[in-house]
This record gives sequence, structure tokens and C-alpha cells, in this order.
Amino acid sequence: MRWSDAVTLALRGALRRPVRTALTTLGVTLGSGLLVALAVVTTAADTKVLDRLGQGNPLTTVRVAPAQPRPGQLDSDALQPGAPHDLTDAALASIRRAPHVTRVVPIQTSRVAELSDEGGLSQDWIIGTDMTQVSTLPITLLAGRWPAANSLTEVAATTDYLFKLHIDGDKPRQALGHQVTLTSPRIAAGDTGPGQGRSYRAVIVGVVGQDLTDGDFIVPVPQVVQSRQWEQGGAGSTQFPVNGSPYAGAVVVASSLSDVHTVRAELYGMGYATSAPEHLVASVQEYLGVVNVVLGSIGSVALGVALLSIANALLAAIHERRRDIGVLKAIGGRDRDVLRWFLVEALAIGLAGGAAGAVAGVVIAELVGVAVNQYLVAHDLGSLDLVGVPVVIPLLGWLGTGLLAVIAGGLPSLQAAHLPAREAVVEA
Amino acid sequence: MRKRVALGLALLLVAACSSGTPAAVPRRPVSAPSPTAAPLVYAAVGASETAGIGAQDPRSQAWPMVFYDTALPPSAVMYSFGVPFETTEAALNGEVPAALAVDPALVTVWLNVDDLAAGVSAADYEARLGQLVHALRRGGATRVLVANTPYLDHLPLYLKCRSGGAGCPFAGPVPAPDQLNAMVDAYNAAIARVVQREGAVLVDLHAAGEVPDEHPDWVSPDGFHPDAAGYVQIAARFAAALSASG
Repeated sequence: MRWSDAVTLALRGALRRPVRTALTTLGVTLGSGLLVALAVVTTAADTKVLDRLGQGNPLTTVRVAPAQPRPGQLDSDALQPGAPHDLTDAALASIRRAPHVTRVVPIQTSRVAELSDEGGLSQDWIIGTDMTQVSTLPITLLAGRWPAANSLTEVAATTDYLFKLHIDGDKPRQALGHQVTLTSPRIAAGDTGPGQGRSYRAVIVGVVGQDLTDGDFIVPVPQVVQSRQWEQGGAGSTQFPVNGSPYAGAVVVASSLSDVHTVRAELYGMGYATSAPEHLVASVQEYLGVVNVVLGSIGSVALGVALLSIANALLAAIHERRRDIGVLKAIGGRDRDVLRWFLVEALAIGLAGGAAGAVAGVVIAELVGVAVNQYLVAHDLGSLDLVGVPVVIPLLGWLGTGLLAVIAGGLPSLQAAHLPAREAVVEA
Repeated sequence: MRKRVALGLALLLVAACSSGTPAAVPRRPVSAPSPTAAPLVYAAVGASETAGIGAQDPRSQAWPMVFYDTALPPSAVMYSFGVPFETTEAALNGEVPAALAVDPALVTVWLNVDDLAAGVSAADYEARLGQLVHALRRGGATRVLVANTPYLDHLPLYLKCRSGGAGCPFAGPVPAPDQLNAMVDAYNAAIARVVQREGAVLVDLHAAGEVPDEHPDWVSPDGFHPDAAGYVQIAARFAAALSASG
């Protein structure tokens, strides 16, 4: 018997009892659909919840401060800074060479007087960093765009600066296009006046929310480097010290979540205080793991019941088709031909039910995601968009259901295959 | 005699000049500086008035900042080196090397009142100013604007000290107005010769006349520095000189 003959026989057999076949397929659909929906929801939820913990940044980031760590630093996610410890180019090079470190993004700051195009004057800091690496940093673009990486005239304002422009925090776009004159002060030797200054004009091209350090503007590296060079040329004073750490901090990216603690330990050994949500993430992962096991078990039970219904349907079909089996064997059909016939029938039901289940599961997951998000927003709990399905889950659900259907149909099919021809015909 | 003049001149830092409309500092209309254009580097060399002493907010109201804000292109970068009580001799050792280090295309120089106050002769002043402007010109690579000395004899603090009133911060005799004006004229002649010799641009603050009489509101409460409105007028003088020089 060829495969095509087996398929034809299987389809005819299935269509001989359409209601039973439909109900069996529906059972498989429900079981696989539930499992796919739970898998999609839990996977998406895990990802989104962990993203939330990372505040939009990779969870493998470790923040480094220019300070010695306190003894309990590694037991805490939060920064435990002790005495100042300059973060230098040499230190950054050592960190880059450390095992499990994939990236190091340094941060520099410079004190500035800010004169807005509306005439308001204030004092704060500019924060300089590599604009090509901002995705690594705890900075979120709220409006506009990032300054060009080497620009000397473009800046991104932080939400703190919006208030100085009297702009509502909900309308960050209003800050775009504003111009600000930034003046870096320094004190010359013997200067008793207000100090010397290096001034340049910049236009606000973006507005960001940031959790790096205090500052009104995120600027490209060349701007902060020039400002710091100017500062360092002064004589220094208590108001404008010139011997601070060259870098205000750094963000270090570990190669994986499991390497975060190793990297922090390495930095601790180098004498730097760090922060990373490693303990929080581990706790959340534990809870999410328990939830996943429970939900997976529920889905698996449902799918198991559906597969048992396939076995049951096949047993009933075999009983009804004993004559057919006998005739097939009488005209030369072998055991494996009968086995192939019923396995193909089980596979067909499994694939049909699995396909419908995968689609239904995705739809259910999307609806759950929308409902959860609406609930969170309605209760001022922020938004957690669960929509977004990894394609691999419904695909695996479909193929897995087909495979499990074949396994479930294995015993009845073997029973049919081993039925003697004479016995089959006589009993029928 | 010279000592008396010098002592008296210590009272007199600069008042605003020119005529025009005093007002709050006008802000340049917003136009985005090009992120890629090579910036014009401007350096302000001077003393207390360059540092903005007398203004309520020196950081934003000093005349170099107003000049930078109103007369220079958006991409320009300004370095303000003003240090109170700075003489030309001190600037040669401090501000000038620092200004040259930033490779400026434009420099403004206003250094004369503290030299007068220190009793520097017009000849010595001319020599030092000539050396200073020559260094800043860098063979013509840098445009240099040099301000001369405005009238000082009607400044409120000078008048107070002349009358022996309380609140005069300086001890000793105060020069008579004609003596003071003679010193100012000698300095301005020296400045004119240096400007001519070095190919610099003169910013004629003296031509504004007795500003304290015409615009007392341009003088700060200390009686000898300009206030914010006065600095606006001074910046306008520099801007006009820059514009006229091409």
C-alpha cells in the first residue's frame, strides 16, 4: 500500500462518521488551543514583566559608580557607595577586559549654566554619553530624536528641563526646537569675580526620561569632553572643583543574565560600587517559573484528555471497520499497511485540531492581552502590552499536537494491525 | 601727580556708552545651529566689565554674552576670559595664552581702566597692548576688536570720591576731572596707534560721550560699572564695529 492509499483510506474512514470526527477534532482543538494560549500568554508576560524590571534596558546591565563599594554591596541590588573612587580610562579598559562583559558605556558630566531662548537662567549638568549606545542606558526617548553622535549643537532635554521651560510633562514635543545657551564655568587663578565661561548654543532635538544621574541635558560625547577640558583648565575652587572623577559612571552589559552577579563581583573586586536588579529578577523569575508550571500543567491535562479522545475514536473506528481490515488483509494487505492507515487517520485529526487550536490559542492570547492591558490602564497601574506572539509557539503547538495524536493513536493502530484477517472477517 | 591720578582712577571702572534704546537683553530669534558646521570661536579678553560685574546676572548679562548672543552665528562658541582687576600686563601672562589655546577667529579686547588705575603710563600701556594685540592677531588669522576708554569723569562713584563723600572705597587723593580726561585721552591715542599698527578694529566707546549724564539708568548701583542695560549698549557698539569691519 502506498502512502497516498493510506491517506485516502484514512480520509474516507474519518468522513464515514463525520460527527464523531468533528467532535474528536474539536476536543483536540480545545486542548491544543488552551495550551498554546497559556504558552503565549506566559511567554509574553515573562518577557514584558522582565522588560519592566529592566525599565526598557537590557536586564544584563550593571551600573557602576565612581565610588568604593560598601561591604554588603553584592547582597543588594541598590548602589552602596562608600568613599570616592575615580573611574578612569584605565579602569574602564580593565572592566572591558573582564570576563562576561560585552559592552561598557561610560558617562561623563559637566556643570553648566543654562540660558534658555526665553531668557531663563539656571544651573545644572549636562550628561554626555555615546549616542550610538543609548539603547543600553536607562534613557527613554519621549519625543523627537537622539542628537547626532558627534554633534556639537544638538542636545536632548530631560524631563527636568521641561519644567524650567514651563512645559507640561505630558507635552514633551513642545520643547523640541528650543535653543539653549550652555556655559561651562571655571575660575582662573586669582579670579574673584563670577568666573570665566565657555558658551555654546544647542538646539533641543529630543526629550528623554532618564535615570542615569542628575542633569538637564543628554549630549553627545564631544560636547561634554570639550566642556570638561575647559573646566580642567581652571584653577579650581570649592564651587568649581577640577579634580573629580573623569567619568561620572558607566553602564556595563554582562553577556547573560546569569553572568550579572559574576560581573558585579568582578567590579566589586576592582573597588567600584554597582547596582543591578539581579536579586529582584531572580525572585521574579522564580515566581514566574511556578506560574508557568501550573498553567502548563492545566494545558497539558486538557491536551491529554483530547488525545485520549483520539485513541477512543480510533478504537471505535477499528471496531466498526473490522470487515474492512479483514478484506484488506485478505487481498494481500500487510500489518504495516493497516498500521499506516490508522496512524495517518490519527495524524490527520491531530494536525487539523492542532492547526485550529494554534489559531484559537493565538486569538485567545491576544484577547487576554488586550483585556489585561485595559484593566491595568483603567486602574492606573501603567500599561503592560502583552500583544505580540512569538511565532514559534503556535507552530510548535500545531506540530506537537500532530505528533502526540500519532502517539495516542499508536496502541489502537497496532491492535488493528495485528488483527488476523480471518478473525476480522468472521467477527464482523 | 601720577600717583594721585592712578589712585583716583581706581574708582573708575567703565560706564556704558553710546545712545540707543536701553532695554532688557534682546534674545536672538531661534534658528537651529548646524550640527556639522565648523564653529566660529570667539574669545573675550578683558577685566571686570568683560566678566559682567555690575549686572544682576553676570553669566547672562555681561556684554560679551550679549554680543555673542546677538551678533554671532548660532554655531559660534564663546570663551569669556574676563577677570576683575586685570591689567594688560597680567592679561599677557594669563588671558592671552589661554585665548590663543582655543584658536579663536575673533577676539575682543577691553583692557584699559585697570591699567589707568594701576598708574601704568600711556607709553608702557601702548607697548603692552601692542604686544597683546600682536599676539592675538596671529599674523592676521584672527580678527581683533579693541575697545578704547570711555569718559570716566562723570561716573557717580568718581564724583562721590571727589567730593569726599562716605562710601568711597579708595583712600588717597582723587585726580581732578581734567587730569583724568588727559590720561584717558593719552590711553585712547595709544589704543588708536596700536589698532592702526596691528590691523585691528577700534571699538570707540569714548565717542559715546558722558553716558552717566544722559543715561544714568545704564550705570549699576556700584556707581562705576554698567548695569545690564549698559552692557546691551556696549555689546551693540562691538557688534557695530564688527559689522563695519566687514
